[in-house]
Amino acid sequence: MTERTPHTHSTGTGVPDSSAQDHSGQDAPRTDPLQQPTVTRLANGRQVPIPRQKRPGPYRVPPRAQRHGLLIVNTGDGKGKTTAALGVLLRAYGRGMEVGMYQFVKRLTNTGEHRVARRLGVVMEALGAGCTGARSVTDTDIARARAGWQRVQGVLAEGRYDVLILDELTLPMTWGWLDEQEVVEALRGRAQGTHVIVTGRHAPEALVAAADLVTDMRVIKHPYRSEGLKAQGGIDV
Amino acid sequence: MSTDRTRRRGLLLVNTGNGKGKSTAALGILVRAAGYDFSIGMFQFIKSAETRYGEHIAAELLGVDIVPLGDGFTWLSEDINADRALAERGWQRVREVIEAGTFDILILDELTYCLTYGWLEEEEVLRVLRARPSWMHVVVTGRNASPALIEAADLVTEMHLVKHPFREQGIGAQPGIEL
Repeated sequence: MTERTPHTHSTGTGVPDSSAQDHSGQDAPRTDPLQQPTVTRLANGRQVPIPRQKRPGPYRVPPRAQRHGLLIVNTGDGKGKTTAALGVLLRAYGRGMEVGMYQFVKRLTNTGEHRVARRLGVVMEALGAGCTGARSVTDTDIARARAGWQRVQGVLAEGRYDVLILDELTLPMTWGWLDEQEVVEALRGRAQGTHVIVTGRHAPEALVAAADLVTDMRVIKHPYRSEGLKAQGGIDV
Repeated sequence: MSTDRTRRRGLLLVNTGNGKGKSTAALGILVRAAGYDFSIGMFQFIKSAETRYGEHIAAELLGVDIVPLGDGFTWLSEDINADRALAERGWQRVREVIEAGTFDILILDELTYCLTYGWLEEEEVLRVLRARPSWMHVVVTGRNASPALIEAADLVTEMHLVKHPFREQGIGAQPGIEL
């Protein structure tokens, strides 16, 4: 583990970070004396949404006791569920937060993300027995998922991490290898201030209900489907 | 996994939609690619050079430069010509690194806004993207990806918002998660 100090940033602008509430109520009218963009309508006639830009920092990570630990779910058939979780991992690491990732289906540990995790000294463990897409499910798959969940349950309660990623946890839930209610209860009972990101297709309703933020990644176009291209290093693995 | 350029088919990826995860997923690709020692460039068209986000700090540790091209106040700006000039200057830099083939993976964060607001000529942008080296992966992020951009892309994902704490619980952006 490399030695790191928590990062705090000053922008040098002397602007107090008073704009945190800018994000609340996305439809609230903009009160600043702002110039409207020249293009306000899209080709389809709809209003162009105006992206809100915060004044730059300084940002500070509040202590666990003072923050709302979010339960984030990345689901859907599109690309970007695990990938976005990795992006959060990078950000949080940059903020000096403790991050950890447990993968419930994946088995390989020579992928790009594992290499980076080793380089940064981040805990990343593949708990699964591999993808079951092209083979039949064995007792090993189920046993590994259950053993993995036992471990993660301990991790959730103990509160070692600021950001904990549970990659593809939805799959053993959907397949009935893990008890859905038990998983959701354990997630709800997580240690104070822990942000948890759950990824995977077919997020069960109970999980969505318990979550603070849910994103559905939708396929608009995918070459692995339409052109039979294979997964590529750096992009997919 | 090989970094051999001759055996690679460069993809144009687009992350769009109103949900969280467009830029974040691009950062995830950055993480993966850094693991294989690809050369990576990330240019942020809107984010201000004044701000250092968590990703800037961590990417530096991985030896990747994330370059903010915007002034961060773009929508607050009083001078639309200044915004356009800034976007054009940024695009010039990006065009140079595309034509020079500097990076295996190039991330153009929030580029779609420059197209939506008409600061950059979409035809010109798409022409340069199409003419990039055959092995170069490009990731474009931002809301409202145009039909022409989607047409040009190999892989398009729409991040769809299902539930968001800003909206429903009034919880603000948190460092490490959004910033």
